[in-house]
Amino acid sequence: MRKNTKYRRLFYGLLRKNVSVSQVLGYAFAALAGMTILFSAFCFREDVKPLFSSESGLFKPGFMVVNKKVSVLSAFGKGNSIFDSSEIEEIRRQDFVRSLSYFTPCRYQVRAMISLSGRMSTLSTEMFFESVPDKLLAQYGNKDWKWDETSGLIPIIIPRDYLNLYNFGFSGSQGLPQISESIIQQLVFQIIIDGNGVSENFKGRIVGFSDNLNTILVPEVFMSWSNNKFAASGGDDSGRISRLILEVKNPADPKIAEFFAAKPDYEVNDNKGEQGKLSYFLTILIVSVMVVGALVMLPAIGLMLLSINLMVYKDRQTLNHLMLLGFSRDALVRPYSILVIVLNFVVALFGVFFTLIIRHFYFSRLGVLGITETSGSLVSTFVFSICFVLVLTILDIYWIYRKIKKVF
Amino acid sequence: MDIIRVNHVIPDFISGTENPVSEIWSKEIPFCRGKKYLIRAASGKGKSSLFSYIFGERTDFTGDIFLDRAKTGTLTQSQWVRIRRMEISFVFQGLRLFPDLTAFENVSLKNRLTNHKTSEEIRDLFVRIGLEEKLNEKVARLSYGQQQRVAVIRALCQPFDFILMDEPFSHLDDENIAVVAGIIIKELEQRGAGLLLSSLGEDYPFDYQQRFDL
Repeated sequence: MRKNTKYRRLFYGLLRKNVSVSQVLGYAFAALAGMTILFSAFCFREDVKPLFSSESGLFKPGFMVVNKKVSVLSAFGKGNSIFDSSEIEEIRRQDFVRSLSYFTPCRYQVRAMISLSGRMSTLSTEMFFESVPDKLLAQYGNKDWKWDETSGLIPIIIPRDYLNLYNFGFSGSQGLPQISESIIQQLVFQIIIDGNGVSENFKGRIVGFSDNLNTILVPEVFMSWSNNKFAASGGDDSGRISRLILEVKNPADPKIAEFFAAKPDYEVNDNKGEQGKLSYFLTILIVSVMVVGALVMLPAIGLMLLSINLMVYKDRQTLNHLMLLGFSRDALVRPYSILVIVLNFVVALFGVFFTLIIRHFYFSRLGVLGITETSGSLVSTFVFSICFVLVLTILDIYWIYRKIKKVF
Repeated sequence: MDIIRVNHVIPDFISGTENPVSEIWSKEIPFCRGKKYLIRAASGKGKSSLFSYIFGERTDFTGDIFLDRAKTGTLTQSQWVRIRRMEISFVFQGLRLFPDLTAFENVSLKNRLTNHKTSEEIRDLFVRIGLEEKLNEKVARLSYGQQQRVAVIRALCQPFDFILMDEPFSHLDDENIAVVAGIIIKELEQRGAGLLLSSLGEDYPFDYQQRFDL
């Protein structure tokens, strides 16, 4: 064992005689700077990602609602806010759109009534229903969000603002009790539907609230059933589409912002319009920083490849003698390979270490945004750095192999 | 390896010369295992070239060289590695020792490839050729004659069927030549190996089966 070590030292020493310390240090510092910038930018991107992907809205992540602004002319029936089929097609054709669907309105009259306990008063209001494809809803799959003809109880989602309006405005002024979200979800409303010459009573219950979308939603299946039964026959929804729901491939895609910037009469509600812009700028920023990191890395890699050229050139006589003594090409590549493997991984280790310091620094500033440190971004940064240094090392070793092959 | 055939070989540097007078160039010469051959020529006639062609180091010639049935030009890198480790040993004219390593390190670097001899056997060889004092001396500090002897020991530290020796005794006195030749003859007998030795004209104490004037 000791003999082996001694022998290896002998052999490696022979080939590393010409390793230039200044070149190695030059490479190490340049590569360290490049890797630190690259790894930090990557880590930062991973850390702030949750800011742009977390969502507590009505829709699953990756959806946005588009409507047209209501103008003065709309009131006179001109320049209305209905999307025509060419406009819908134009949006559907965009690269960032995965699927497009729209709100289905009810085509009959709806009244809701509720008797408040302890009082004889009955609240009654005219209202409407809309539905969207169930699969788009975060509520989808929830046991409450179901309806069939036998159940009789219609699940409804209303804007949370409606409840606030009642609790903080109406109930106080009228001497009525305030109602919490959990209580209102226990209440059963009477729903009266009139249309097509028929009137029928149903029961309805509020199963959820939405923060960002002003509509009253019922399940898709109820909407199609009720429209069938109560709407004047022959009518359909086309020509009445005023709100579109887009499923986008990547909510942070800058093309989305570009497209809608060119359509000033469109309004987009993606729960995070401001975040979308921030995400856009931040993506540009992070990409720029990574490009800088790559630009620093390039001369470092160039320096390494040149140093390899020089080392092999200086060692060519020794390499030639060793070859004639019966050493294989692989054996001759090994001492240089081990050198670059150790060098690259040590540099990467320091790069990761500095990245952790930088991360600690920016987290002390990011705390106000409510971003918490997670280990997930660290894991992906480690994976990224390991992949990066592996690719780099493989490139170096390939280069060494090529150079030594020329000597043989 | 039982036979090295040198068939119609003409080095590029003498091709074009009309009718080169040579007992090897342009001829069919078989070198057989177990036999000893002397190749004599003045400087610059191509003794080292012939050995380099056989050893696969150079290919600037026309004609064919066969190691057993394999043509040298067709051998792969890994086949050459095996041949240089196990079948043909070579004492280079330029010695090709590593000046920064000691005499012993130079020899053991080669020996470790096949672990052919033990450290004790190597030391014993140094003792027999009178270099035990120089064992741990850097080769750069040895005289050329001493270096030649180190190179011979190194060439013996591997299995071989043939050993090529390119003017190995040029800087040795007769007494040293006799000692080194004795060691070589014993090693050749042990392995049943063949010897190809080149000289400027000297005969050296080997009983050759054949002598060639290149």
